Amino acid sequence: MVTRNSVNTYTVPTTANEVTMPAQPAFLGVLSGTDSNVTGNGAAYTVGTNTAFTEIFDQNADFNVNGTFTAPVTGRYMLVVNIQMDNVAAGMTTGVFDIVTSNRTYNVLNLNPLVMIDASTNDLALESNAIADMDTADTAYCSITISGGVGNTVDLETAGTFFCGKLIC
Amino acid sequence: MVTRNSQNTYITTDTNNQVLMPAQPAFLATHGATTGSVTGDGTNYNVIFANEIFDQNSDYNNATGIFTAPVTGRYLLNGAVCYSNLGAAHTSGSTYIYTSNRTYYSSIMNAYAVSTGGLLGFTSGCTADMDAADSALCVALINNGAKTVQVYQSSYFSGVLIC
Repeated sequence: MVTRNSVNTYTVPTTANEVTMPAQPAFLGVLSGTDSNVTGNGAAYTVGTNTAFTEIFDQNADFNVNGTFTAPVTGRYMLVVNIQMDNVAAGMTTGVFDIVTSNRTYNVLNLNPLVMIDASTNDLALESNAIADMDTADTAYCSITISGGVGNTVDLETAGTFFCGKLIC
Repeated sequence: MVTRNSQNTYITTDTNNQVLMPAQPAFLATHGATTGSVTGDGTNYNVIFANEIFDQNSDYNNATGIFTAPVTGRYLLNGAVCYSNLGAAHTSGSTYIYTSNRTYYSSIMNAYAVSTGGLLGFTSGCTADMDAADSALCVALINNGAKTVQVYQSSYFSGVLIC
């Protein structure tokens, strides 16, 4: 059976009652390549600015590959960000990850990246999330700021840098 | 209001309009017991979360640790692996979620440096595109030392079909 509103399919149950919502706003963007030299000496960098995301899926077409998601309707959105960074250098002892929405900024992580980096790969990857109140046409994006270094030498790696979200209610 | 397909309830609402989907694929499993030594020397250990807390639609296999997507869709997956018995040499590690379509490297860090007395929780989460019959599992990896690292009992793995 397919349940419809006046225009389109919005919930699709299978015979086992598993429900998919193929028109529900939902997206997953993965960084398309290494984004080099974006932060390290205090520069606040919006992920997707210099190196675009690749859309894995973008139901309802609300995600821009520059890293900005625009809410199509007022509601509550689950937003998840994962950042993988490389080339954290001496002095870079302060790291801030934010999910920035029009209504508020979610300071999802504060940490000392220098002591956390993987000794084998010199990488650091972390994930965080927020359930955000967003109004129609509000935007959301991810920002990273690493401070204390002598230059903006930190790179973002494609394997572990992604941004995803979904309208949940 | 209750919305039904031809057989069963798939969305229920109560008089306060709270919505449930009791047949929606969703699972939560905990590790249940601390393992023996499973990683530490670069071994990728597929964590088996044996203790099912719930498993709507019966898509999670607690003998293998593998969730199998019953239908093509987007799935919210979260893995949290708590490591114990980390030593000073274990300076590299990752908890990641493997799916048939791609691998999500959500946590990479110097495991010992950020641990508390050799105990460390790593989380990994994603919204994953999965096709029907695709698999997902949570992998624990610690490098650079001896194979002495254990997966602690409080670890868990969860997921839900979200759209």
